[in-house]
Amino acid sequence: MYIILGYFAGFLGIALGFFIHFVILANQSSFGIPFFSPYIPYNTLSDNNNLHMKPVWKREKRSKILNTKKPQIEEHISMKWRKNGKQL
Amino acid sequence: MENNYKLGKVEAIAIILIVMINKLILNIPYYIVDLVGSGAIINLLYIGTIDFILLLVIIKLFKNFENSDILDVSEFLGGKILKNLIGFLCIALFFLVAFITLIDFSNVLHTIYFSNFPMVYILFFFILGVLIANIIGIKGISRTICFIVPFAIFSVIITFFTSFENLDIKDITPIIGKSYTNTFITGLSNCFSMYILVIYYFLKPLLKDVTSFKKVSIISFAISFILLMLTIVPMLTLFNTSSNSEPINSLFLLSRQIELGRFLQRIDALFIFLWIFAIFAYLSFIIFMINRIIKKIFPVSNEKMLSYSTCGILFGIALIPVNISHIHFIEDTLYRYLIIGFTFVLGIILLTLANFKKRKLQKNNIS
Repeated sequence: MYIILGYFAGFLGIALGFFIHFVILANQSSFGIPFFSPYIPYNTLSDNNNLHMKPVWKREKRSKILNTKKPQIEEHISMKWRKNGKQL
Repeated sequence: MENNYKLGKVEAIAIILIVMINKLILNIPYYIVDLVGSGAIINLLYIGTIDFILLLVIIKLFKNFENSDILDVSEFLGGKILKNLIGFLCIALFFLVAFITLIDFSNVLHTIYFSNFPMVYILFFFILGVLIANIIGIKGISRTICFIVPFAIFSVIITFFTSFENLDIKDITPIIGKSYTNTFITGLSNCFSMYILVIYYFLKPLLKDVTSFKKVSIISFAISFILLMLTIVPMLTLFNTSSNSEPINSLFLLSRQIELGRFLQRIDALFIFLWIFAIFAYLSFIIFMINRIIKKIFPVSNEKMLSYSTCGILFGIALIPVNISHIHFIEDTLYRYLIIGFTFVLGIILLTLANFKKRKLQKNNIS
């Protein structure tokens, strides 16, 4: 499709094809989750299901898209014994 | 076609920014600098302050009207007659905006890249993209805008920083410009550059969280103002402000000056691709707004046919001008004063009178 559009209208045709393709994909959703989530629409709490993931000890919140009753998985400092300097 | 979709905060900010970025891509910075010369910076700070005060007034006046736009307010004030009148005016305004954008940018592409292409084909490609996007719906359009805005902002910032080395203090002097009267009195008409103020009159019912209207408005206004400043400052260094010349696409000419070593040259080709994308997104949003206003005025059963009709009307209007100088004339005169008249005069009067009426009704209810 892009080749045909490029032949007919150069990069204007390619830009048209890319725009329409992007709009169609942006409109899609998979099991209620937008196709480009969490980047578009930007979703800060979707930390555990991402291209760049935080270390395990920093994953304190559940994904916003799950709409859970308790978004907090663990406390800010879960391993209190390490903070207090007592190692078991 | 989902048109009950509500915009989130980031999507709303992105939409306002794409409106501003499209104005920067076209000739708005040129018109500002052409009118006030080297006093453009002072003039911009001056009109920015006035526009910000107007924005705060709009936010305050809309507080009593939750989930309402200017059409709902005019219906509350004057019934269906006033609503229809304001609706027709808004439709005409948005059609004018879309028509100017379409012709202007198509002319740029025709001049620079597609000299052998008939202009009709370039217009047709834009209309086709806008039509398909509107058939898909605002959800796809708003998310596409969210995607393109960071790249478009990046192009403006890169253009500014690469022209920074050519910046000379002599180019921005005299800082007051041609004269005090020219910068502060005549330069007031440059308030039209913040065309985004028109969008704020329609934004509230589109938002998912109506209480975030203030936050969204202020953040988007601030970023738009910074982008306008980042385009105006390099323009002063590059172009001769003392003589009048034909309007030129300032951002494109600024991007032509970018040279990042020997590896990256002619980066304006990449920017043109981004800006075509931005124009598509912007025109799609404008047509969506036109469709929305028409649906408020008339009982429309088939939304798809409405998109076909509005896109067809826009295509027809776009074929009327024979010469690009007609467009520049319309942009410099009719468009400028229409925007100022709508945002500063009509909108404020309607909101103020509606607020008075609401307060009177509340007093009568209490008594």
